[in-house]
Amino acid sequence: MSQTSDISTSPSNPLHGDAGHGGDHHVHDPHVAHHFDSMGQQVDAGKLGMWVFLATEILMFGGLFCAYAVYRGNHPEVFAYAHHYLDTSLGALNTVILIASSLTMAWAVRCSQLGKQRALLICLVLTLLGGFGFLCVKTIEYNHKAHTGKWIGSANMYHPKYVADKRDEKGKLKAPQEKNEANDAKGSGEAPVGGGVTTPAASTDGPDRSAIAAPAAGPAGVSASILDEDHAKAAHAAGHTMTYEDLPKAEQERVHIFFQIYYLMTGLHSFHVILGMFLIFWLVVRAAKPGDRKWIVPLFPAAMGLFLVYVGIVTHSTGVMISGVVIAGLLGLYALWRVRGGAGESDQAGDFGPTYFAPVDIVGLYWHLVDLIWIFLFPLLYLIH
Amino acid sequence: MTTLTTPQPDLLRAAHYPSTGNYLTHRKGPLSWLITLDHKRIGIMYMIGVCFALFLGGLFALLLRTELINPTPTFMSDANASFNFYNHMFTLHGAVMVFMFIIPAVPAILGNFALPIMLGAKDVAFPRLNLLSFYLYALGGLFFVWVLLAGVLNAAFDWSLAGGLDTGWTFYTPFSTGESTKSAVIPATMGAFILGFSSILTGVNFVVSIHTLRPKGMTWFRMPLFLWALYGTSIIQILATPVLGITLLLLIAERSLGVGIFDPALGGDPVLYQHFFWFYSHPAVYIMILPAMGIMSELISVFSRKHIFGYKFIANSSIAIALLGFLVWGHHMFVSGQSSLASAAFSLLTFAVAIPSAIKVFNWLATMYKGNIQLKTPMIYAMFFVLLFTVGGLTGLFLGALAVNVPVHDTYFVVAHFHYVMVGSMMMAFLGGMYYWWPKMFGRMYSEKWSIISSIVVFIGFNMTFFIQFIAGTQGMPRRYASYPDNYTTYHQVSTVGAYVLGVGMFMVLGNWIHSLRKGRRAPANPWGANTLEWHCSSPPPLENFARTPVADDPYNFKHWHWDETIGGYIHDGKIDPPRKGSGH
Amino acid sequence: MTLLVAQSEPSLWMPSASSTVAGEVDSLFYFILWICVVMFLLILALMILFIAKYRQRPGYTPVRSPSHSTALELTWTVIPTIVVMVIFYAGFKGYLNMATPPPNAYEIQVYATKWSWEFTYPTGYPSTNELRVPLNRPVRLVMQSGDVIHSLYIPAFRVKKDCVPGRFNHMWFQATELGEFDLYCAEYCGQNHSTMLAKVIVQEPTVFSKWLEDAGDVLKGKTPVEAGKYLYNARKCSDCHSLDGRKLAGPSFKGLFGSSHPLRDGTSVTVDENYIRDSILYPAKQVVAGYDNVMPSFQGRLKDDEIAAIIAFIKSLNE
Repeated sequence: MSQTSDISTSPSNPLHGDAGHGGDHHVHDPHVAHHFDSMGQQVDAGKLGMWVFLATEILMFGGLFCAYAVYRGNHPEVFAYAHHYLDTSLGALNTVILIASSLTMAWAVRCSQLGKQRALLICLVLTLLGGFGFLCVKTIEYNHKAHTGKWIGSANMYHPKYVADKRDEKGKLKAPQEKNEANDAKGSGEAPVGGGVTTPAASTDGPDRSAIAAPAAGPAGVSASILDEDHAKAAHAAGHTMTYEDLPKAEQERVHIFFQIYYLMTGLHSFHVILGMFLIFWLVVRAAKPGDRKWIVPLFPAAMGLFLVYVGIVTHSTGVMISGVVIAGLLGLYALWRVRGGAGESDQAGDFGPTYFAPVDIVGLYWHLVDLIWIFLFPLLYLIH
Repeated sequence: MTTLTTPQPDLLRAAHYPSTGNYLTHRKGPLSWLITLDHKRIGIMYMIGVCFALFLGGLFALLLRTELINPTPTFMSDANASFNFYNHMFTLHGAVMVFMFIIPAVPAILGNFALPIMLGAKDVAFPRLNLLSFYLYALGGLFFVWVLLAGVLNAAFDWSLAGGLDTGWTFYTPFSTGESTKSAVIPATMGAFILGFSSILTGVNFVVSIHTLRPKGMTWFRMPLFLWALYGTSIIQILATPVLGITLLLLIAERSLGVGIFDPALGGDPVLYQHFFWFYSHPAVYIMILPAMGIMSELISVFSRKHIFGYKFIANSSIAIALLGFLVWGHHMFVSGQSSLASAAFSLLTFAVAIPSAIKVFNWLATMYKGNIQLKTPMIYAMFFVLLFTVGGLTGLFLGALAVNVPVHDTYFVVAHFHYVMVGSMMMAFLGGMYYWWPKMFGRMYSEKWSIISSIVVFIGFNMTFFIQFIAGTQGMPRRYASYPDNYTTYHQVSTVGAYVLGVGMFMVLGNWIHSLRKGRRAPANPWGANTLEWHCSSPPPLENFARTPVADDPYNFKHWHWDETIGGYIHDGKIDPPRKGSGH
Repeated sequence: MTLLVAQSEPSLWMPSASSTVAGEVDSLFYFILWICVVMFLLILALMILFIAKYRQRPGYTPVRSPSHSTALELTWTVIPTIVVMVIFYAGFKGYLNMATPPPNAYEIQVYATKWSWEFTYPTGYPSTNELRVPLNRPVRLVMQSGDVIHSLYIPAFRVKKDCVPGRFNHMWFQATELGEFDLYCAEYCGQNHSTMLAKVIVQEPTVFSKWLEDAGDVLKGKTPVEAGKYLYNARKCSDCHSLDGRKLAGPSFKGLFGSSHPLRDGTSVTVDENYIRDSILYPAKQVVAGYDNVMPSFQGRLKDDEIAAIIAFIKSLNE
């Protein structure tokens, strides 16, 4: 490993530092912790620490990838059948969102190195918005599955102990157009995984897939059209004809495992996205002018409140919606109030600049890993037949 | 910061006398400990936690052995209650000992204390992460204590708290996910999960510290072997523990949501769980033994007053063990019905991992050859370690050989084998290391006489407890049996008596330590004449160890340290060998 | 030297070697044991020698010695490598033998549940916790588990294999000695793991087939109550249900019939013929309060007239 060259050694006694500890150690940059000799050493340590931590993360996801590989290897039919229930368009949209946010993150690192304070802030906020966008799309996907009996654990209709809960009933009432989907017959709580389940129903009037990929404008625009969509039919239109009956009996009982793996993998990934968003928000605060921080701080929880409102709307859950409104409203007002208290002085700069940008760099590494994992998840879960 | 470090005009000299402002005394009060970022204090706090875990685990072990003193139930007349009690005890014994004692003991106590000083650094790379890691340890420990306490309360008052644990520390599915066990699988796995993160953070800290904080003069191949061992350990902690984490999360999802990945009734595969579990837990064995081997390399070299033999072989074998250790997990499943080919591959790799271990033993012996051996307490433990590790390692050959593995798998032979490795070897090394660094930690010497006597009691007790179990195992005694056929009675009775002797020995060790804290003679800076950097600063070290990053010498070059009768320790003659290129050998 | 060579009689290390694979396993065991003993003694001797010779003491001045020797280190890398490869090969060969049953093997189905073993012979006759096999004939066990993982272990035959729910595992052996041998569950399976024991009885082939023929018909020549009592013991109802009112893992049969019990779900039930039948076939359906749902289902394992016999037996306990 590189030894930073500026470790000064006392000429009088090479083995031990001499007494002059207090004398010359002053030049310390305030950003260098006392136990590091130099900024270079600290940056090396921080970066290496993040790389090592990323290795840990990869191994953690590696466990799930192994579970995926084992089940895919042993039960390929299950995966070939069940993956049609995932919406490729939404998955692709999320891929685009995450790649874009990775780009803005990389850009943010560059800006901090160049000392472009304003551009840095913009890039970080855009990255943060990418995170929110990803979560919004994921909410649509999860919600759709939850409402059509393909939720996690025993709330999955393929699960041997499936009991249709109230949410399914409600979901069907709200979305009657889904009755086409043959699987829904099971949602009404009849015999569990029995016969009569033909997935991709015969109808070929699947929606125009190109229309779904198009609205990259924003997740809100997509939601309505997607909720109406019957993925299985879309899959059928694309030429996949495997039905539930085609599966061997033993494999039929394993269909739910695909969904469990899907939820575990994407759930853990989403959790990492949220964690990354907290880190990026921390960067936003530090990148802002010190005088502005007081009103920026409440903005992130306020945005989380807005996200809750969105979740409430998508899932038809009034409670969630109201709590979101309350959180977002109160914190938004609080932020406004703080703004009126006076803006930051213009000559003050944020923390990051050409001499100190390690935190942006390190959080960037983390965010890229989160993206990278999705880049693997998307084809493995959504695309491979 | 300057105020925290005592300026020392001539550190070389002053180092040999107790300093006034050391890390133990520079600030007082419980709060100054609880929020400390100092690696030495964090190490001491770990010591208290780990010793408490050792006490609990040991207590469970004595209860187990007492239950087994005769073939029928011992404590309770009711057979079912008696079986339940035993099953809970052996589970908690395993879980507490593995997750809270063996894995953290050496890295978290001795590693935390010694690693930064050996690097000539003021602290580990991420001190706050280090403290967080300690609190995660404490939190994970609380989960286990809760499981234990709730189990006891349930038994005593017939309550039905989520408590007790009877799944075995391995949490094998589908037993652990079925309804048949009402025990607190979720809290316990949460505890293990949290402890795993504590372990990961320590590993991250150590790897980064070793990479970035090494002082001038300390090239990779002039690093003390203890650091090499900790480096190998950290790699395992970083790469294996997250797999345990995800496995435990899956188990929790399985139990709470019924996702069915491991449940055959839901289309899952219970053996997959075993693969996942052992992918972590076999390397975890090397988390336990590698640092122990590192301590050995230090002790044997220092107390033979001779440069360690074959430095590079030992250093490389640490890394080889760490890496090969990842590829042998399947040897826990030779009788599970996995394919013969897989079994053969795992068997072959298992034998491969035996080779670097053998190399180390021979190197240690060669270090003693033509040395100037001082049989002080740490060296006695080192000798015990070599013997017990030899037995533990050699009996691994039986288990690695497929045909012999089949009859002895899951019998007391396995129990004896891993206790020889994990208790015999690892705990001997831990105790040896504690005695070795004790003067540095607390600035006090201990009673040499009592420590040697207690070490012999521990050694006898240990062998009495576990050697007989090899025979019980080959005779067919399965493990985890609360009762057993009469023909095994003698083995169990000998073993139980041995366990009491071992228990007495451990209390003698504890008594000796406490006595040393109160009455021990003041320790010199370097009582052993060792040349790793921690012996260059005073005992106990000042808050930030070194005022200025020192320059490292060959860690096994002892010729500049000379015995000084007046201070009862060694003094450096101030000379420095010209730095040589390449390895220290 | 009787200590360290393979033999069929019980020795210090090993129980009797009573199957065809046992000899091979024992030979390898003793081979490794010899290596271990030699290695251990070598290390011990060197250690004692070095301590004695190079101990720090007045009048002893150590001479400098090298701290590194590639030749020496390679030697003690290569030799152990060769030794362990030999052991690996021998172990693998033996393992393959144990994994490959001869084609003419006699097949017995094994069904493990908490906490008993059920062995079903080709005639369809099931026996509980007692495995009878013919002498000198390869026997192949096809093993399943009804709940958690168990492991079938016969020390005298040196064989062991897990019974994993959701899949079939196989093992085989050929007994070479008449007599009774222990069979253990070697994989922890819950509360009564340590009582999940069975006997292996090796008989002359003619005796064995005679026994199987007679044993096939449980009910013949018995009154229903006698047959029920026989089944109560043979199918190990006795492990969990006492006849004297003691509370074991399940309710006692004493005075059970006609009595009324609260259930776990809060309702209560009166014990009649239908309830007993249901409890045998679907034990999880109505569990009596104060007990765990631990009973395995006997669906497909007890015939209707056998259940009737058990009901008759339980009724008879009220008299």
